[in-house]
Amino acid sequence: MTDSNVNITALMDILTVLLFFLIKSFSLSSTSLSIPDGVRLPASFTNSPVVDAVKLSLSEKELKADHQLLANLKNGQFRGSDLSRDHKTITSLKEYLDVQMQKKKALIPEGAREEDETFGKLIIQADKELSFKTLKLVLHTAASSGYEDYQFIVKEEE
Amino acid sequence: MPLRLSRKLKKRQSLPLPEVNIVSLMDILTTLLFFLVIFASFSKYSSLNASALVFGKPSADQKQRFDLRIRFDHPKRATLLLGPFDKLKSSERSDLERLIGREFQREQDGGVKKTIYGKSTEDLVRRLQAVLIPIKKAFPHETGALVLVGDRIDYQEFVDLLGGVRELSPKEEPLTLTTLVGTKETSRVLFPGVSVGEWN
Repeated sequence: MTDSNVNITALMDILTVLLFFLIKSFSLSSTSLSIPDGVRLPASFTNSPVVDAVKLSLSEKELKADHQLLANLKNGQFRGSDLSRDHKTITSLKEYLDVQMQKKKALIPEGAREEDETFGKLIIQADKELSFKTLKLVLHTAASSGYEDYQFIVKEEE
Repeated sequence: MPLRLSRKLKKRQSLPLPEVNIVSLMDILTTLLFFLVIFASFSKYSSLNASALVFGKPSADQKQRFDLRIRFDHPKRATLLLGPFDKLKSSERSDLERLIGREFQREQDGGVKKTIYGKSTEDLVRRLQAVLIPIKKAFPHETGALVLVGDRIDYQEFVDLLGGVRELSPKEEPLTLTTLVGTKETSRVLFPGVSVGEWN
């Protein structure tokens, strides 16, 4: 029997190049996004990067914050029982965001908040067919909890 | 002396090639690659940034400020309101003044207004941009705009308008702007500092 020498140099080259590109693409996207079930993202030509922040997802059936179910929707509308007296604030979302804001404030001193790129930011993944009437309740609640910068997640247009 | 050196070299050349065992390195690379491929997201997502409309105390000074509002209350209609701007610093104002004289209505506060209609939201955004371009050319240093959205607008339509107010699409020719100091700049950016409010 003779020794069979398999030359794996070419394979090594391919693997290293692949690894290089994958690591590079990982470092470019600062946050990982998984699109929740039932959310069809709108398309846009914009290509701004996504900065990590509290993630809200809004489909025709439910509102979730960081994968935690906060409210069920009926035909793409919030139920009256989920809203506070002003009919503009989503009670469960307000409670969740207030807690998150307190945690963030405890972590970041007051003077450094303006420089922190994640402070007061929200990632919003909403279904493209929802009406602004539904979305504005989320925006209103977020603003009342101190979240005033929104990142609307979109699919890049082909 | 040179004889010794050549002998040494001959000795070195005759040595067998060292075998480097790269099997463990291959194992590491393959494992790393496997995990990276599993967790890599191949879908392209990006974000469209906007801020909440926050009302502060009215300013005490009487200084004129750039005030651009777009009321979007129907998928095929938008109303553009530009506040008084006669005391603002501007660049190429002639195109804008010609357009205002031809197509805008004068408001009581000294501002101007124009209602834009489109066959679809996409067409509306294109027509809106045709008006935003001379405004941007006149005020190249201004970045803010307020978008007031009505209840009947779908999220996709809202995103289309928001994107159109922020920048020109890559398919379109970039703008050539003359800055306040007279230098020329090429850009696709219109008014990226969009605040969102509701229109009832």
